[in-house]
Amino acid sequence: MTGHAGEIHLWTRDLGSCLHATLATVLLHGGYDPVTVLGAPWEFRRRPSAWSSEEYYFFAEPDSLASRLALFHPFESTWHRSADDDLDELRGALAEGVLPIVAVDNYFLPFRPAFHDVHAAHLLVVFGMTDAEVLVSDAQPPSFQGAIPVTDFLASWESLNPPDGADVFFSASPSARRWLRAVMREPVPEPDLDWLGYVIRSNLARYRQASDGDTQTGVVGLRDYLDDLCALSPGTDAAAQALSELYAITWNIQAQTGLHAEFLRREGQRWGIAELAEAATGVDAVAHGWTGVRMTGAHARVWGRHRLDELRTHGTELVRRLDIALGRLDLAADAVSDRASRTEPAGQLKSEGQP
Amino acid sequence: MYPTSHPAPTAAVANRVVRRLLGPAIRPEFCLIGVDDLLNNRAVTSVSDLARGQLNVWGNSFPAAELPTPGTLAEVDGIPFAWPNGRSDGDNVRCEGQLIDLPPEQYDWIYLLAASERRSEDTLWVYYDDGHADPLRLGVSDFLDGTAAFGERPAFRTERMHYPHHVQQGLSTTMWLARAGMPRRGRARALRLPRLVALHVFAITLMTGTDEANGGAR
Repeated sequence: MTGHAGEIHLWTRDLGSCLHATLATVLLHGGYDPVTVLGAPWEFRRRPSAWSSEEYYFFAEPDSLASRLALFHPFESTWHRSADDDLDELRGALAEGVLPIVAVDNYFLPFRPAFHDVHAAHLLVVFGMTDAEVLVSDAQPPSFQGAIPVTDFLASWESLNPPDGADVFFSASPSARRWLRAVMREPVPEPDLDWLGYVIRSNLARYRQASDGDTQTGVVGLRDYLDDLCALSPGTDAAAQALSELYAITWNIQAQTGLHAEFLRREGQRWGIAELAEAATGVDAVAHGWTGVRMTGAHARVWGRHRLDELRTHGTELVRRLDIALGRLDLAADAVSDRASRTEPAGQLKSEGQP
Repeated sequence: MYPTSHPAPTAAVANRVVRRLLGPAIRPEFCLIGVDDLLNNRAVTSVSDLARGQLNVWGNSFPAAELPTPGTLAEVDGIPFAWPNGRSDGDNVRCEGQLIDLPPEQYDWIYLLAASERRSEDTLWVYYDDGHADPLRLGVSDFLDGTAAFGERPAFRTERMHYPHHVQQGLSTTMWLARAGMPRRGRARALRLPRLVALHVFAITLMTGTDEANGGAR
Protein backbone atom coordinates (compact mmCIF):
# COMPACT_ATOMS: atom_id res chain seq x y z
CA MET A 1 0.00 0.00 0.00
CA THR A 2 1.29 3.40 -0.96
CA GLY A 3 -0.66 6.12 0.71
CA HIS A 4 -0.93 9.01 3.08
CA ALA A 5 -1.46 8.94 6.79
CA GLY A 6 -3.12 12.35 6.79
CA GLU A 7 -6.79 13.00 6.33
CA ILE A 8 -7.97 13.72 2.79
CA HIS A 9 -10.52 16.53 2.70
CA LEU A 10 -13.26 17.01 0.16
CA TRP A 11 -13.69 20.71 -0.66
CA THR A 12 -15.87 22.25 -3.31
CA ARG A 13 -17.87 25.38 -4.11
CA ASP A 14 -20.99 25.83 -6.22
CA LEU A 15 -19.19 28.03 -8.76
CA GLY A 16 -16.03 25.97 -8.68
CA SER A 17 -14.70 23.19 -10.85
CA CYS A 18 -12.47 20.21 -10.30
CA LEU A 19 -9.50 22.59 -10.64
CA HIS A 20 -10.09 24.56 -7.47
CA ALA A 21 -11.45 21.47 -5.73
CA THR A 22 -8.39 19.29 -6.30
CA LEU A 23 -5.94 22.07 -5.48
CA ALA A 24 -7.92 22.75 -2.32
CA THR A 25 -7.63 19.11 -1.28
CA VAL A 26 -3.87 19.33 -1.74
CA LEU A 27 -3.71 22.59 0.22
CA LEU A 28 -5.81 21.24 3.08
CA HIS A 29 -3.64 18.16 3.26
CA GLY A 30 -0.66 20.46 3.71
CA GLY A 31 -2.42 22.49 6.38
CA TYR A 32 -3.20 25.53 4.21
CA ASP A 33 -6.54 27.29 3.86
CA PRO A 34 -7.89 27.18 0.26
CA VAL A 35 -10.00 30.31 0.62
CA THR A 36 -6.95 32.35 1.65
CA VAL A 37 -4.61 30.84 -0.93
CA LEU A 38 -6.93 30.51 -3.93
CA GLY A 39 -9.38 33.26 -2.99
CA ALA A 40 -6.92 36.14 -2.63
CA PRO A 41 -6.15 36.66 -6.35
CA TRP A 42 -8.77 38.04 -8.70
CA GLU A 43 -8.15 38.87 -12.34
CA PHE A 44 -9.27 38.56 -15.93
CA ARG A 45 -6.76 37.21 -18.43
CA ARG A 46 -7.30 35.57 -21.77
CA ARG A 47 -5.05 34.84 -24.69
CA PRO A 48 -7.10 34.24 -27.85
CA SER A 49 -7.03 30.60 -28.96
CA ALA A 50 -4.89 29.55 -25.98
CA TRP A 51 -7.30 27.12 -24.41
CA SER A 52 -8.18 23.46 -24.20
CA SER A 53 -11.53 21.75 -23.84
CA GLU A 54 -11.14 20.86 -20.18
CA GLU A 55 -13.18 21.79 -17.13
CA TYR A 56 -9.90 22.59 -15.42
CA TYR A 57 -8.54 25.00 -18.03
CA PHE A 58 -7.18 28.27 -16.66
CA PHE A 59 -4.89 30.62 -18.54
CA ALA A 60 -1.77 30.67 -16.37
CA GLU A 61 1.13 31.29 -18.76
CA PRO A 62 3.88 32.23 -18.20
CA ASP A 63 3.25 31.01 -14.65
CA SER A 64 2.41 27.52 -13.57
CA LEU A 65 -1.23 26.65 -12.95
CA ALA A 66 -0.90 26.68 -9.16
CA SER A 67 1.23 29.79 -8.97
CA ARG A 68 -1.20 31.79 -11.13
CA LEU A 69 -4.18 30.61 -9.11
CA ALA A 70 -2.33 31.41 -5.90
CA LEU A 71 -0.60 34.64 -6.91
CA PHE A 72 0.09 35.71 -3.35
CA HIS A 73 1.51 32.39 -2.10
CA PRO A 74 4.54 30.30 -3.11
CA PHE A 75 2.28 27.55 -4.46
CA GLU A 76 3.75 25.92 -7.57
CA SER A 77 2.82 23.13 -9.90
CA THR A 78 4.25 21.15 -12.78
CA TRP A 79 2.51 18.90 -15.28
CA HIS A 80 4.00 15.42 -15.78
CA ARG A 81 3.23 12.67 -18.26
CA SER A 82 3.84 9.09 -17.14
CA ALA A 83 4.81 6.19 -19.34
CA ASP A 84 2.31 3.56 -20.51
CA ASP A 85 0.76 1.46 -17.72
CA ASP A 86 3.25 2.94 -15.31
CA LEU A 87 1.95 3.98 -11.93
CA ASP A 88 5.42 4.28 -10.43
CA GLU A 89 5.55 8.05 -10.77
CA LEU A 90 2.31 8.38 -8.86
CA ARG A 91 3.57 5.93 -6.24
CA GLY A 92 6.78 7.93 -5.98
CA ALA A 93 4.88 11.17 -5.45
CA LEU A 94 2.74 9.57 -2.75
CA ALA A 95 5.86 8.25 -1.05
CA GLU A 96 7.22 11.81 -0.98
CA GLY A 97 4.05 13.05 0.66
CA VAL A 98 2.72 14.68 -2.51
CA LEU A 99 -0.91 14.11 -3.52
CA PRO A 100 -0.90 13.76 -7.33
CA ILE A 101 -3.74 15.43 -9.23
CA VAL A 102 -4.51 13.31 -12.27
CA ALA A 103 -6.21 14.15 -15.55
CA VAL A 104 -8.98 11.65 -16.25
CA ASP A 105 -11.98 10.94 -18.48
CA ASN A 106 -15.27 10.65 -16.60
CA TYR A 107 -16.49 8.02 -19.05
CA PHE A 108 -14.41 5.35 -17.31
CA LEU A 109 -15.01 6.33 -13.68
CA PRO A 110 -17.67 4.15 -12.00
CA PHE A 111 -18.68 6.86 -9.51
CA ARG A 112 -19.21 9.66 -12.06
CA PRO A 113 -22.67 10.25 -13.59
CA ALA A 114 -21.01 10.17 -17.03
CA PHE A 115 -19.80 6.59 -16.49
CA HIS A 116 -20.08 4.68 -19.77
CA ASP A 117 -22.18 7.54 -21.13
CA VAL A 118 -20.22 10.72 -21.84
CA HIS A 119 -16.54 11.50 -22.36
CA ALA A 120 -15.43 14.52 -20.34
CA ALA A 121 -12.09 15.78 -19.00
CA HIS A 122 -11.83 15.91 -15.23
CA LEU A 123 -9.31 16.03 -12.37
CA LEU A 124 -9.01 13.72 -9.37
CA VAL A 125 -6.71 13.53 -6.38
CA VAL A 126 -4.91 10.22 -5.86
CA PHE A 127 -4.20 9.49 -2.20
CA GLY A 128 -3.22 5.85 -2.12
CA MET A 129 -2.58 2.75 -4.17
CA THR A 130 -2.45 -1.02 -3.91
CA ASP A 131 -1.63 -3.55 -6.61
CA ALA A 132 -5.32 -3.83 -7.48
CA GLU A 133 -6.86 -0.50 -6.51
CA VAL A 134 -6.27 3.24 -6.63
CA LEU A 135 -7.63 5.48 -3.87
CA VAL A 136 -9.10 8.61 -5.37
CA SER A 137 -10.78 11.72 -4.01
CA ASP A 138 -13.29 13.72 -6.05
CA ALA A 139 -15.16 16.53 -4.29
CA GLN A 140 -17.30 17.52 -7.27
CA PRO A 141 -20.92 16.35 -6.94
CA PRO A 142 -21.64 13.52 -6.47
CA SER A 143 -18.56 13.47 -4.29
CA PHE A 144 -16.58 10.27 -3.95
CA GLN A 145 -13.64 9.19 -1.91
CA GLY A 146 -12.46 5.60 -2.04
CA ALA A 147 -10.95 2.81 -4.08
CA ILE A 148 -11.51 2.05 -7.73
CA PRO A 149 -9.97 -0.84 -9.68
CA VAL A 150 -6.61 -0.10 -11.26
CA THR A 151 -8.08 -1.09 -14.63
CA ASP A 152 -10.79 1.61 -14.37
CA PHE A 153 -8.24 4.15 -13.24
CA LEU A 154 -5.88 3.37 -16.10
CA ALA A 155 -8.68 3.43 -18.66
CA SER A 156 -9.66 6.89 -17.45
CA TRP A 157 -6.08 8.16 -17.10
CA GLU A 158 -5.05 6.86 -20.53
CA SER A 159 -8.26 7.83 -22.32
CA LEU A 160 -8.14 9.66 -25.62
CA ASN A 161 -11.29 11.43 -24.39
CA PRO A 162 -12.63 11.57 -27.95
CA PRO A 163 -15.02 14.25 -29.21
CA ASP A 164 -18.45 13.61 -27.71
CA GLY A 165 -21.60 15.37 -28.87
CA ALA A 166 -23.06 15.03 -25.38
CA ASP A 167 -20.28 17.23 -24.01
CA VAL A 168 -19.07 19.70 -26.60
CA PHE A 169 -17.16 21.67 -23.98
CA PHE A 170 -14.95 19.15 -22.20
CA SER A 171 -14.45 16.24 -24.60
CA ALA A 172 -11.75 15.97 -27.27
CA SER A 173 -8.90 16.40 -24.81
CA PRO A 174 -6.83 13.26 -24.14
CA SER A 175 -6.03 12.45 -20.52
CA ALA A 176 -2.66 11.19 -21.77
CA ARG A 177 -1.48 9.93 -18.35
CA ARG A 178 -0.96 13.51 -17.24
CA TRP A 179 -0.68 14.45 -13.61
CA LEU A 180 -0.06 17.63 -11.72
CA ARG A 181 2.37 17.98 -8.85
CA ALA A 182 1.34 20.98 -6.74
CA VAL A 183 3.52 21.97 -3.79
CA MET A 184 3.52 24.91 -1.38
CA ARG A 185 6.96 26.36 -0.71
CA GLU A 186 7.97 28.33 2.34
CA PRO A 187 7.70 30.93 3.65
CA VAL A 188 3.97 31.46 3.44
CA PRO A 189 2.87 35.08 4.02
CA GLU A 190 1.15 36.01 7.24
CA PRO A 191 -2.41 37.05 6.33
CA ASP A 192 -2.34 40.27 8.34
CA LEU A 193 -3.84 43.64 7.43
CA ASP A 194 -0.76 44.82 5.54
CA TRP A 195 -0.87 41.68 3.42
CA LEU A 196 -4.61 42.06 2.87
CA GLY A 197 -4.19 45.65 1.71
CA TYR A 198 -1.41 44.59 -0.63
CA VAL A 199 -3.59 41.83 -2.09
CA ILE A 200 -6.51 44.15 -2.79
CA ARG A 201 -4.39 46.89 -4.34
CA SER A 202 -2.50 44.37 -6.49
CA ASN A 203 -5.75 42.95 -7.82
CA LEU A 204 -7.03 46.47 -8.53
CA ALA A 205 -3.82 47.37 -10.37
CA ARG A 206 -4.04 44.27 -12.58
CA TYR A 207 -7.66 44.96 -13.45
CA ARG A 208 -6.78 48.54 -14.41
CA GLN A 209 -3.67 47.91 -16.43
CA ALA A 210 -3.75 47.79 -20.21
CA SER A 211 -3.72 44.47 -22.04
CA ASP A 212 -0.28 42.93 -22.38
CA GLY A 213 0.56 42.15 -25.99
CA ASP A 214 -1.81 39.52 -27.31
CA THR A 215 -3.09 38.72 -23.81
CA GLN A 216 -6.35 40.45 -22.96
CA THR A 217 -6.24 41.53 -19.33
CA GLY A 218 -8.24 43.58 -16.87
CA VAL A 219 -11.28 45.71 -17.60
CA VAL A 220 -10.00 46.73 -21.03
CA GLY A 221 -9.22 43.14 -21.98
CA LEU A 222 -12.61 41.98 -20.81
CA ARG A 223 -14.37 44.67 -22.85
CA ASP A 224 -12.38 43.67 -25.92
CA TYR A 225 -13.19 40.00 -25.43
CA LEU A 226 -16.90 40.69 -25.02
CA ASP A 227 -16.84 42.84 -28.17
CA ASP A 228 -15.21 39.93 -30.01
CA LEU A 229 -18.00 37.62 -28.87
CA CYS A 230 -20.74 40.00 -29.94
CA ALA A 231 -19.21 40.25 -33.42
CA LEU A 232 -19.69 36.51 -34.06
CA SER A 233 -21.82 35.28 -36.93
CA PRO A 234 -24.38 32.92 -35.36
CA GLY A 235 -24.36 29.36 -36.58
CA THR A 236 -20.87 29.39 -38.07
CA ASP A 237 -18.05 27.03 -37.10
CA ALA A 238 -16.09 30.01 -35.86
CA ALA A 239 -18.96 30.97 -33.59
CA ALA A 240 -19.27 27.41 -32.26
CA GLN A 241 -15.58 27.35 -31.47
CA ALA A 242 -15.69 30.76 -29.79
CA LEU A 243 -18.71 29.83 -27.69
CA SER A 244 -17.04 26.59 -26.59
CA GLU A 245 -14.01 28.61 -25.60
CA LEU A 246 -16.20 31.07 -23.70
CA TYR A 247 -17.75 28.33 -21.60
CA ALA A 248 -14.45 26.58 -20.93
CA ILE A 249 -12.18 29.51 -20.09
CA THR A 250 -14.67 31.41 -17.98
CA TRP A 251 -15.65 28.50 -15.74
CA ASN A 252 -12.63 29.06 -13.54
CA ILE A 253 -12.68 32.82 -14.02
CA GLN A 254 -16.18 32.75 -12.55
CA ALA A 255 -15.03 30.30 -9.89
CA GLN A 256 -12.14 32.56 -8.88
CA THR A 257 -14.49 35.54 -8.74
CA GLY A 258 -16.89 33.74 -6.41
CA LEU A 259 -14.02 32.54 -4.24
CA HIS A 260 -12.54 36.04 -4.05
CA ALA A 261 -15.89 37.33 -2.81
CA GLU A 262 -15.86 34.64 -0.12
CA PHE A 263 -12.30 35.64 0.80
CA LEU A 264 -13.27 39.31 1.14
CA ARG A 265 -16.40 38.51 3.12
CA ARG A 266 -14.46 36.35 5.52
CA GLU A 267 -11.72 38.95 5.96
CA GLY A 268 -14.44 41.51 6.59
CA GLN A 269 -15.82 39.38 9.40
CA ARG A 270 -12.37 38.67 10.76
CA TRP A 271 -11.35 42.30 11.01
CA GLY A 272 -14.78 43.85 11.46
CA ILE A 273 -14.38 46.04 8.37
CA ALA A 274 -17.73 46.70 6.71
CA GLU A 275 -16.16 47.96 3.46
CA LEU A 276 -14.79 44.46 2.85
CA ALA A 277 -18.29 42.99 3.07
CA GLU A 278 -19.54 45.63 0.62
CA ALA A 279 -16.71 44.84 -1.76
CA ALA A 280 -17.50 41.13 -1.44
CA THR A 281 -21.08 41.79 -2.50
CA GLY A 282 -19.79 43.73 -5.49
CA VAL A 283 -17.41 40.94 -6.49
CA ASP A 284 -20.16 38.37 -6.02
CA ALA A 285 -22.34 40.40 -8.39
CA VAL A 286 -19.56 40.10 -10.97
CA ALA A 287 -19.47 36.33 -10.44
CA HIS A 288 -23.22 36.22 -11.01
CA GLY A 289 -22.86 38.49 -14.03
CA TRP A 290 -20.67 35.82 -15.58
CA THR A 291 -23.68 33.45 -15.40
CA GLY A 292 -25.56 35.61 -17.88
CA VAL A 293 -22.66 35.78 -20.32
CA ARG A 294 -21.65 32.15 -19.98
CA MET A 295 -25.11 30.60 -20.14
CA THR A 296 -26.34 32.79 -22.98
CA GLY A 297 -23.30 31.63 -24.94
CA ALA A 298 -23.67 28.02 -23.85
CA HIS A 299 -27.35 27.87 -24.83
CA ALA A 300 -26.40 29.19 -28.24
CA ARG A 301 -23.71 26.54 -28.56
CA VAL A 302 -25.78 23.59 -27.31
CA TRP A 303 -29.41 24.41 -28.05
CA GLY A 304 -28.92 26.71 -31.04
CA ARG A 305 -30.57 29.61 -29.25
CA HIS A 306 -28.52 32.43 -30.77
CA ARG A 307 -29.25 35.74 -29.06
CA LEU A 308 -26.36 38.12 -29.54
CA ASP A 309 -28.53 40.97 -28.25
CA GLU A 310 -28.84 39.20 -24.90
CA LEU A 311 -25.15 38.37 -24.92
CA ARG A 312 -24.34 42.05 -25.47
CA THR A 313 -26.70 43.08 -22.66
CA HIS A 314 -25.15 40.61 -20.23
CA GLY A 315 -21.66 41.67 -21.28
CA THR A 316 -22.47 45.33 -20.69
CA GLU A 317 -23.94 44.47 -17.30
CA LEU A 318 -20.90 42.40 -16.39
CA VAL A 319 -18.55 45.32 -17.08
CA ARG A 320 -20.84 47.70 -15.18
CA ARG A 321 -20.77 45.39 -12.17
CA LEU A 322 -17.01 45.09 -12.46
CA ASP A 323 -16.62 48.88 -12.40
CA ILE A 324 -18.79 49.04 -9.28
CA ALA A 325 -16.85 46.23 -7.60
CA LEU A 326 -13.51 47.90 -8.29
CA GLY A 327 -14.80 51.11 -6.77
CA ARG A 328 -15.85 49.29 -3.63
CA LEU A 329 -12.47 47.58 -3.49
CA ASP A 330 -10.82 51.02 -3.55
CA LEU A 331 -12.83 51.94 -0.48
CA ALA A 332 -12.08 48.59 1.14
CA ALA A 333 -8.34 48.99 0.54
CA ASP A 334 -8.45 52.43 2.17
CA ALA A 335 -10.36 51.04 5.13
CA VAL A 336 -7.87 48.20 5.52
CA SER A 337 -4.94 50.63 5.38
CA ASP A 338 -6.63 52.90 7.92
CA ARG A 339 -7.18 49.98 10.27
CA ALA A 340 -3.62 48.75 9.78
CA SER A 341 -2.26 52.18 10.68
CA ARG A 342 -4.16 52.07 13.96
CA THR A 343 -3.21 48.49 14.83
CA GLU A 344 0.01 47.93 16.69
CA PRO A 345 2.15 44.89 16.08
CA ALA A 346 1.39 42.03 18.44
CA GLY A 347 2.85 42.49 21.90
CA GLN A 348 3.21 46.27 21.69
CA LEU A 349 1.43 48.15 24.46
CA LYS A 350 -0.86 51.08 23.64
CA SER A 351 0.42 54.44 24.78
CA GLU A 352 -1.41 56.41 27.43
CA GLY A 353 -4.55 58.06 26.17
CA GLN A 354 -4.51 56.20 22.89
CA PRO A 355 -7.96 54.98 21.90
CA MET B 1 -51.93 51.42 18.37
CA TYR B 2 -48.53 51.54 20.05
CA PRO B 3 -48.24 52.79 23.63
CA THR B 4 -47.52 56.50 23.66
CA SER B 5 -45.03 56.22 26.48
CA HIS B 6 -41.66 54.83 25.53
CA PRO B 7 -41.02 51.36 26.87
CA ALA B 8 -37.90 50.67 28.82
CA PRO B 9 -34.90 49.76 26.69
CA THR B 10 -34.71 46.01 26.27
CA ALA B 11 -31.36 45.68 24.55
CA ALA B 12 -28.29 47.63 23.62
CA VAL B 13 -25.95 47.21 20.67
CA ALA B 14 -22.58 48.98 20.82
CA ASN B 15 -23.95 51.52 23.32
CA ARG B 16 -26.94 52.28 21.08
CA VAL B 17 -30.28 52.02 22.84
CA VAL B 18 -32.60 49.55 21.17
CA ARG B 19 -36.27 49.03 22.01
CA ARG B 20 -38.47 46.15 20.99
CA LEU B 21 -42.22 46.36 20.53
CA LEU B 22 -44.86 43.90 19.48
CA GLY B 23 -46.64 45.01 16.31
CA PRO B 24 -50.24 44.36 15.37
CA ALA B 25 -51.18 40.94 14.11
CA ILE B 26 -51.03 40.81 10.34
CA ARG B 27 -53.20 38.85 7.95
CA PRO B 28 -51.26 38.34 4.75
CA GLU B 29 -53.11 37.72 1.55
CA PHE B 30 -51.70 35.80 -1.37
CA CYS B 31 -52.22 36.35 -5.06
CA LEU B 32 -51.27 33.19 -6.97
CA ILE B 33 -50.21 33.99 -10.52
CA GLY B 34 -50.80 31.32 -13.12
CA VAL B 35 -47.97 30.90 -15.60
CA ASP B 36 -49.33 28.01 -17.69
CA ASP B 37 -49.52 30.22 -20.79
CA LEU B 38 -45.79 31.03 -20.49
CA LEU B 39 -44.32 27.53 -20.09
CA ASN B 40 -41.45 27.29 -22.56
CA ASN B 41 -38.93 24.80 -21.18
CA ARG B 42 -38.71 21.25 -19.86
CA ALA B 43 -36.91 21.03 -16.54
CA VAL B 44 -38.92 18.18 -15.01
CA THR B 45 -38.92 14.67 -16.43
CA SER B 46 -40.13 11.22 -15.53
CA VAL B 47 -38.06 8.10 -16.05
CA SER B 48 -39.87 7.55 -19.34
CA ASP B 49 -38.80 10.82 -20.95
CA LEU B 50 -35.43 11.63 -19.41
CA ALA B 51 -33.97 12.94 -22.64
CA ARG B 52 -36.51 15.79 -22.81
CA GLY B 53 -34.86 17.66 -19.97
CA GLN B 54 -33.30 21.05 -20.70
CA LEU B 55 -32.78 22.53 -17.25
CA ASN B 56 -29.14 23.11 -18.15
CA VAL B 57 -26.80 22.67 -21.08
CA TRP B 58 -26.15 19.07 -20.04
CA GLY B 59 -29.80 18.11 -20.41
CA ASN B 60 -30.32 17.47 -16.71
CA SER B 61 -33.73 17.76 -15.10
CA PHE B 62 -35.65 17.47 -11.84
CA PRO B 63 -37.33 14.12 -11.10
CA ALA B 64 -41.09 14.59 -11.47
CA ALA B 65 -41.71 11.98 -8.78
CA GLU B 66 -40.20 14.30 -6.17
CA LEU B 67 -42.11 17.45 -7.14
CA PRO B 68 -45.79 18.45 -6.83
CA THR B 69 -48.36 17.02 -9.18
CA PRO B 70 -48.92 19.34 -12.17
CA GLY B 71 -51.86 21.67 -11.80
CA THR B 72 -52.12 21.38 -8.03
CA LEU B 73 -51.71 23.82 -5.17
CA ALA B 74 -48.27 23.63 -3.57
CA GLU B 75 -47.43 25.19 -0.22
CA VAL B 76 -43.86 26.04 0.69
CA ASP B 77 -43.00 27.65 4.01
CA GLY B 78 -46.60 28.78 4.37
CA ILE B 79 -46.68 30.38 0.91
CA PRO B 80 -49.25 28.85 -1.48
CA PHE B 81 -48.33 28.48 -5.13
CA ALA B 82 -50.19 27.41 -8.24
CA TRP B 83 -47.88 24.65 -9.46
CA PRO B 84 -47.89 24.77 -13.26
CA ASN B 85 -49.87 22.34 -15.32
CA GLY B 86 -46.86 21.12 -17.26
CA ARG B 87 -47.07 19.80 -20.78
CA SER B 88 -44.72 17.78 -22.93
CA ASP B 89 -43.22 20.99 -24.31
CA GLY B 90 -43.00 22.96 -21.09
CA ASP B 91 -43.23 22.81 -17.33
CA ASN B 92 -41.52 26.06 -16.35
CA VAL B 93 -40.78 29.56 -17.61
CA ARG B 94 -37.23 29.97 -18.85
CA CYS B 95 -36.70 33.65 -18.22
CA GLU B 96 -36.66 35.68 -21.43
CA GLY B 97 -38.17 38.94 -20.25
CA GLN B 98 -41.79 37.74 -20.18
CA LEU B 99 -44.30 40.43 -19.14
CA ILE B 100 -46.92 39.25 -16.66
CA ASP B 101 -50.05 41.30 -15.89
CA LEU B 102 -51.10 41.52 -12.26
CA PRO B 103 -54.36 42.41 -10.55
CA PRO B 104 -53.67 46.12 -9.77
CA GLU B 105 -52.90 46.20 -6.07
CA GLN B 106 -50.26 47.15 -3.61
CA TYR B 107 -48.04 44.17 -2.84
CA ASP B 108 -45.27 43.65 -0.31
CA TRP B 109 -43.38 40.64 -1.60
CA ILE B 110 -42.99 38.57 -4.72
CA TYR B 111 -42.30 34.92 -3.97
CA LEU B 112 -41.02 32.57 -6.65
CA LEU B 113 -40.31 28.89 -6.93
CA ALA B 114 -37.24 29.00 -9.13
CA ALA B 115 -34.11 27.17 -10.19
CA SER B 116 -30.90 28.38 -11.73
CA GLU B 117 -28.11 26.93 -13.81
CA ARG B 118 -25.33 28.31 -11.64
CA ARG B 119 -26.14 31.39 -9.57
CA SER B 120 -28.43 33.99 -11.13
CA GLU B 121 -28.60 37.61 -10.00
CA ASP B 122 -30.73 39.79 -12.22
CA THR B 123 -33.52 42.33 -12.38
CA LEU B 124 -37.21 41.70 -11.92
CA TRP B 125 -39.11 44.77 -13.12
CA VAL B 126 -42.36 45.85 -11.51
CA TYR B 127 -44.62 48.41 -13.25
CA TYR B 128 -46.96 50.68 -11.31
CA ASP B 129 -50.11 52.44 -12.42
CA ASP B 130 -48.53 55.85 -11.86
CA GLY B 131 -45.93 55.12 -14.54
CA HIS B 132 -43.07 54.08 -12.31
CA ALA B 133 -41.05 50.94 -13.05
CA ASP B 134 -39.00 49.54 -10.17
CA PRO B 135 -36.03 47.22 -10.70
CA LEU B 136 -36.02 44.56 -8.01
CA ARG B 137 -32.94 42.46 -7.37
CA LEU B 138 -33.65 38.75 -7.70
CA GLY B 139 -31.11 36.15 -6.69
CA VAL B 140 -31.50 32.41 -7.24
CA SER B 141 -28.84 29.88 -6.30
CA ASP B 142 -27.50 26.96 -8.28
CA PHE B 143 -29.94 24.04 -8.54
CA LEU B 144 -27.14 21.51 -8.23
CA ASP B 145 -25.00 22.54 -5.31
CA GLY B 146 -27.66 23.31 -2.72
CA THR B 147 -25.83 26.29 -1.21
CA ALA B 148 -28.16 29.23 -0.61
CA ALA B 149 -25.94 31.99 -1.96
CA PHE B 150 -28.69 34.60 -1.66
CA GLY B 151 -30.09 33.46 1.65
CA GLU B 152 -33.08 31.76 0.06
CA ARG B 153 -34.77 28.71 1.47
CA PRO B 154 -34.92 25.41 -0.35
CA ALA B 155 -38.44 24.74 -1.61
CA PHE B 156 -37.78 21.21 -2.82
CA ARG B 157 -34.64 19.16 -2.44
CA THR B 158 -34.62 15.94 -4.41
CA GLU B 159 -32.67 12.80 -3.67
CA ARG B 160 -31.73 12.16 -7.28
CA MET B 161 -31.09 13.98 -10.52
CA HIS B 162 -32.20 13.07 -14.00
CA TYR B 163 -29.69 12.76 -16.83
CA PRO B 164 -30.62 12.30 -20.50
CA HIS B 165 -29.88 8.57 -20.33
CA HIS B 166 -30.13 7.61 -16.67
CA VAL B 167 -31.27 8.50 -13.18
CA GLN B 168 -28.44 9.48 -10.86
CA GLN B 169 -29.21 8.37 -7.33
CA GLY B 170 -27.58 10.26 -4.49
CA LEU B 171 -27.12 13.47 -6.45
CA SER B 172 -29.38 16.08 -4.94
CA THR B 173 -31.04 18.98 -6.72
CA THR B 174 -32.65 22.06 -5.22
CA MET B 175 -35.52 24.26 -6.28
CA TRP B 176 -35.46 27.51 -4.33
CA LEU B 177 -38.04 29.65 -2.62
CA ALA B 178 -36.80 33.08 -3.66
CA ARG B 179 -38.38 36.43 -2.90
CA ALA B 180 -38.05 40.09 -3.73
CA GLY B 181 -39.40 42.97 -1.66
CA MET B 182 -41.64 45.63 -3.21
CA PRO B 183 -40.96 48.78 -1.19
CA ARG B 184 -42.99 51.20 -3.33
CA ARG B 185 -46.39 52.07 -1.92
CA GLY B 186 -48.29 52.00 -5.16
CA ARG B 187 -50.51 49.75 -7.26
CA ALA B 188 -48.47 47.26 -9.24
CA ARG B 189 -49.95 46.34 -12.61
CA ALA B 190 -47.35 44.05 -14.15
CA LEU B 191 -43.96 42.47 -13.69
CA ARG B 192 -41.28 41.44 -16.13
CA LEU B 193 -39.11 38.38 -15.59
CA PRO B 194 -35.35 38.77 -16.13
CA ARG B 195 -33.80 38.22 -19.53
CA LEU B 196 -31.61 35.39 -18.35
CA VAL B 197 -31.87 31.89 -19.80
CA ALA B 198 -30.08 30.37 -16.81
CA LEU B 199 -33.10 31.19 -14.65
CA HIS B 200 -36.23 29.03 -14.52
CA VAL B 201 -39.45 30.08 -12.76
CA PHE B 202 -42.05 27.49 -11.84
CA ALA B 203 -44.55 29.50 -9.81
CA ILE B 204 -45.17 33.06 -8.62
CA THR B 205 -47.17 34.28 -5.65
CA LEU B 206 -47.49 37.88 -4.50
CA MET B 207 -48.13 38.67 -0.88
CA THR B 208 -49.75 41.72 0.61
CA GLY B 209 -51.08 42.81 3.97
CA THR B 210 -47.85 42.46 5.93
CA ASP B 211 -48.23 45.98 7.24
CA GLU B 212 -51.28 48.01 8.03
CA ALA B 213 -50.62 50.70 5.45
CA ASN B 214 -50.69 48.22 2.62
CA GLY B 215 -53.98 46.79 3.79
CA GLY B 216 -55.50 50.25 3.66
CA ALA B 217 -54.15 51.21 0.27
CA ARG B 218 -55.76 48.52 -1.75
